[in-house]
Amino acid sequence: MKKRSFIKSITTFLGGLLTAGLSSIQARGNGQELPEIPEDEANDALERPLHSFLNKYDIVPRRGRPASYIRPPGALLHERRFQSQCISCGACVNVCHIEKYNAVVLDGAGDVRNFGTPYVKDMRDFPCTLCMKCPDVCPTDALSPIEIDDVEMGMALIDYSICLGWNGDVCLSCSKACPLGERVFDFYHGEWGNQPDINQDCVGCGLCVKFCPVGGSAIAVVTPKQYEQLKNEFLHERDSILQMDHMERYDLIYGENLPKLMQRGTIEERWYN
Amino acid sequence: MLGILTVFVLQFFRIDALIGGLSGADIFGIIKMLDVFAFIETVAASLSITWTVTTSVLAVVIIYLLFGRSFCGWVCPYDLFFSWVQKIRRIVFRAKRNKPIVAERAGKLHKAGYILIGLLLIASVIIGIPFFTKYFSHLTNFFRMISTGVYYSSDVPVSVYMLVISAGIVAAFLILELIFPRYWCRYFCPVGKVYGGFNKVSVIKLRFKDMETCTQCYLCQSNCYMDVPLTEFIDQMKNNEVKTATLRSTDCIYCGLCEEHCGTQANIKISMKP
Repeated sequence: MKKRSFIKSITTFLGGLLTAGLSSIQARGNGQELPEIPEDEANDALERPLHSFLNKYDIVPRRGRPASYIRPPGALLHERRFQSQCISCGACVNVCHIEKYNAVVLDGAGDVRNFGTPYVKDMRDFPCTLCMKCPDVCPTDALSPIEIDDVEMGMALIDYSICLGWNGDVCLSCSKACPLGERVFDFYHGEWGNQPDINQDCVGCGLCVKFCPVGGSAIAVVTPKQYEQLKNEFLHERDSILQMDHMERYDLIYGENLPKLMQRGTIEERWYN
Repeated sequence: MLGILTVFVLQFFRIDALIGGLSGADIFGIIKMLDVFAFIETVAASLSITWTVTTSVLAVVIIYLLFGRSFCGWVCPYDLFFSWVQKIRRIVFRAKRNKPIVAERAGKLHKAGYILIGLLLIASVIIGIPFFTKYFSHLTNFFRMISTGVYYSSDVPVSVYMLVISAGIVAAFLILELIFPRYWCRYFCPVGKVYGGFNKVSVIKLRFKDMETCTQCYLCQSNCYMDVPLTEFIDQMKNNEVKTATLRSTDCIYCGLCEEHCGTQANIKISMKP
């Protein structure tokens, strides 16, 4: 046998053996199973109003395009700079899969400029856990190593109209899930609940999105740029809710918010698609 | 070739030996690697050189200062795929062995390849995106296709469009190979062209140990699918009556076929010795 073909066949054999063995190991491990959504229901959900504020500011997913490109931690903040550095090699995606978080996804059919760039796709099921492995493996400087406190992936916003804590309950799910803890959360304790609010120290990892008990999560993460746009009006809305008198608040919660919340119980739509 | 691919496949089984693809990767979390053409394109796109990019390309540069263009013959998965396509061509379409391309035409095609590199770099500068590496690169798309395919089948969020688009581009490369055998490797692939430059200075080289034994059968030339000008070189050396000679062609990928098929069984050697 000739040298080249010999080496070739040896590597083929070893590779095949290794792949077969590993795939049998892989088959035995159980992956996370997602609830099946009927096709038409999922399509309906895309057109249904989402978070009131996302809908208001038109931050809604178009077909195949995410509502907001939330970059992995350590990404260059300037979008054009990020696009110019990222070569779409997939190292961040693969390391995220190795760490079993599966948060980072390469974009396929957003727009041409964002094609092949990584973003955190579905925070309801696969939030970023700030393990900071992806900046470590990035061969270009698109993602650069950074302290967790300095990460600026985005900004988590609570939809006050469906949040349990703002509608007569005490729920601490988001603040318990937050990897940064108390310095991100402000509480406006009152007779209508513990009323959590996320302040600007939020890095946008999305763990609170996952652990919110409201159907389809009452929290959504927007990019820093989008937050700048909707910031003023959003904070104004919060203040106006806080300044309401007793009867106004009663009407708001029992008249509008609670029915909406009850409906939400069964909604399984994916907003970050 | 498959051996190196296997190491890349390991990452899908959550073993972090080699993370990434052939355009950019990370070994054991220690050494980062970046394809040289991808490096040139990112520099062109962002108009700046950063520390990480430089260190990660340095690892690759050192490797190919040793091994020259052997990336194409021993690492690039497309060398293997294209050889399969050639087999299909021969068996299914009854195609004859590739006719050697006339030197004049080959020169023109080479020129076209360099123009293509120039255009790609200009496009990168203008739109500010590593144009070839991000959209059309055969390597990027191959690894994107595998990773999205694996994740899609294991219910992990992926963009299905990405799977379709990258698989389409890979298929396009294979179909083009069916029509124009080895044109991509020989004349147009910017990645290989850049590595070809390393051939001029690399430690590895094609050595003709004993020109006196050479019977000028040109079996080496007929087996070379990269169109390395072996015939001309051998004729020249014979005329000059040189005993030993080294050939440093930018086209040579050190696949070893000439060494294997040499009529004297001893003349041609891929040599790492200085």
